[in-house]
Amino acid sequence: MKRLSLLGLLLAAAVLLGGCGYYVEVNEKSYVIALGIDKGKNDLIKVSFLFTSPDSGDEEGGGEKKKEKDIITLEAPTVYSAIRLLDTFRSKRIDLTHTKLIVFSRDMAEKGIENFVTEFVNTRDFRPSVYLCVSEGKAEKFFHSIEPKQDLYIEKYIDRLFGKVTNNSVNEAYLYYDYFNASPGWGGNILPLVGVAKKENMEAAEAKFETVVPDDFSANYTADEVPIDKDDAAVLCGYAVFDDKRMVGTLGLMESSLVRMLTKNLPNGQFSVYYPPKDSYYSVDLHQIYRSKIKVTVGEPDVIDVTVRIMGEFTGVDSEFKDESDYDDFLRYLDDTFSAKLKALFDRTQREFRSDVFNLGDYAKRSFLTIDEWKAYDWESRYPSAVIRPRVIVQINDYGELRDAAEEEG
Amino acid sequence: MKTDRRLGVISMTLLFINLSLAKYLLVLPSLIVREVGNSAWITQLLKGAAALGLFAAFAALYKPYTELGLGEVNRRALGKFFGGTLNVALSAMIIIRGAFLFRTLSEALRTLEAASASQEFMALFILVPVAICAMKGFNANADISSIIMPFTVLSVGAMAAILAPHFRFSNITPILGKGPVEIVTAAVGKFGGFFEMIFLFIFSRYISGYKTFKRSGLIGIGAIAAITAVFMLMYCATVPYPASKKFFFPLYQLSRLIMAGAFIQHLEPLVVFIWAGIVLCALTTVTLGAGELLASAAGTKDVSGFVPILAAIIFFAGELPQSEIMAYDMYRVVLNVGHYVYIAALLLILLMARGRKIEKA
Repeated sequence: MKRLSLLGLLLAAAVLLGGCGYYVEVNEKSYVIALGIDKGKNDLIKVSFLFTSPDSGDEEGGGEKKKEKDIITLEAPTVYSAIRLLDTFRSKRIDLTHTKLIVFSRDMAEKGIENFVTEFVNTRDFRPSVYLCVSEGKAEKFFHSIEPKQDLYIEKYIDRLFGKVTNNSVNEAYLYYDYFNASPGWGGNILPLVGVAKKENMEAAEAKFETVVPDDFSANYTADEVPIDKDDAAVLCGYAVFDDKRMVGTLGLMESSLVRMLTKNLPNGQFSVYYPPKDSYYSVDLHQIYRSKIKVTVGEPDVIDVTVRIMGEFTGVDSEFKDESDYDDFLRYLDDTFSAKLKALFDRTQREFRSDVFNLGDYAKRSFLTIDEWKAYDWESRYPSAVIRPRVIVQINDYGELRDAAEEEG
Repeated sequence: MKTDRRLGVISMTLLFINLSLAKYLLVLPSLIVREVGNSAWITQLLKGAAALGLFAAFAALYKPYTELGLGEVNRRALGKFFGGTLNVALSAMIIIRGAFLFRTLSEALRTLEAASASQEFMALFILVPVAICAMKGFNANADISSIIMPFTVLSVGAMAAILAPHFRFSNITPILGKGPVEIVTAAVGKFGGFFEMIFLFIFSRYISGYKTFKRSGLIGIGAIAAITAVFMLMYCATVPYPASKKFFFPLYQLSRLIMAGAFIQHLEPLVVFIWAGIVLCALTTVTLGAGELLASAAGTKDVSGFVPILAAIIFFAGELPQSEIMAYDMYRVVLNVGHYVYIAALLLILLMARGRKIEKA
């Protein structure tokens, strides 16, 4: 009994082992919500810190007062030297463990960001759940443009903006781990693109649609091009494309949806498609149940077969669709259109970016037994000349009946 | 020291697994990945198969001496002077290896838990419970291992389940990683093999009979190979090569990746807690193993007198390397070279014992 009591006492004492020797009160820290990295002068970088503001929280007695933005920009050789400079005039200790977002400006991304990302991964200061993205313009400007109208807190706004899943959203979570893991020099990469949209974009869009069919595929905006009746609106739209080292281009809004078909699941969402035979627009609600099937046959040339199967339903039945053949024709048109758009996207990666942006090499790698054989195959230089055969099959669920033009054709 | 209770298969197996996991789960994954690439899990399976064969052969030679313990067999086979000297030499090797492992892990624990604390403080924080547990004796250590091990295995299993969405088949291709030669070399020639099996021979006098001894070894090696192969597979399937070779402590990095909903994340402290448990038990076993050999050299069966000295040696030897990286490098050298010595010594002792037909227990 004595032993048991002693054991119980020791176990209870173990709770205190954590101690409080190195404790820091929460309100003694200054939490960086987002970090922006722009190109500075003379090889310096401009680091912008977006902080949470304490004005609606602990020190002023609570209440749901909207927070003001607290942005500080410094020029320094590295991110950590900027933090040291920050310490010279901020009264609170800088804390990066709650950082939600790291933004690189385009000019930084074009120089290459791998060293930064490796540094962030190797330090314990950042959580792996940090979103990583590229800003078309200055990251600092993007921070100043953020206006979380529907969210009380900026951190919630960032979480929701980057975490939401719609067919136009770029991705549900882009952790810097994803970039770090996917950039070992064996292929390209993509990161979400943010920017600052302007009022003039409206006029540019209007001018554009005087000559092109105004369906969703034509509205392939990148972040800075989004037509919006507001100046300096922070926008998340499209992707920044990287080869194995640096940023080499951008993908627009609709291309982002195609990327989602390839890399993750396309969530539910409306697509507006112009259908020439009827000279009309139709809305289809598309979603993806099955992952894309990708098969790479290595050889001369390398052949990449990509099959994307999308489910969907008409959200409006057109009176001009008299019989089943009309539906089947429309389905075939959707198959062909999506396949052609996907082909065009792959063509861009082969001709313009000259990099395996979607890491299709991961599927080619399976044909090799050792890393040396795989390296010797030099996939990155072979990818631009590979034959890519994308095929999109749209299945429409119409009144409990599954229509599939491709299968009916055999 | 109490030696009245003989250990059964479960207790002995769990002690053996715990001892090996301190190395295989915490320190070796990144080293093996650097050596063989994403086929590290195949290396572990091969290593396990080789160790099973080796253990079965040694166990067959050892059959008549289970009741004696390796130190005593050595003293009787090689004589008091040579046997005693070899016991002291083996004990020194075990302690040096333990000291570098101890330094590496105490540095890591400091970095993760209290970066501003001094390394010596963390070292003492680990070493004091190790010394106390070792003073309490072999059975106490085996009991604690039996409590900790299930939690360790459960935590690795839970981690695998939570991280499953991160697994990518393409991450473990090309399936043979850096090549078959590297796999075989790493499996049989590097990283100390399953050298921990020597502790089964050292502690055999605490085990209830030859059958228990043999079964503990075979089941233990099989289980370690399986657990570590699953862990390596999990690591390689989650983090593609060559990114996988950049992490120093894969177990910790994997725990940082856990993000299943709002509550199941930030689990690193839990991993460190389990990690500390494994390290404490493993170091206690190392201390007791070295003490057992020294006791045999001195012709006594009481190990407890050696424990404070050995704990002090572990502490000071661990402080010899000037930095964590140096300690890690020295540990790697000891691992790569040391297991040949252990195997050669074991073979020599058993052949001499058989040749001289020493008195059976």
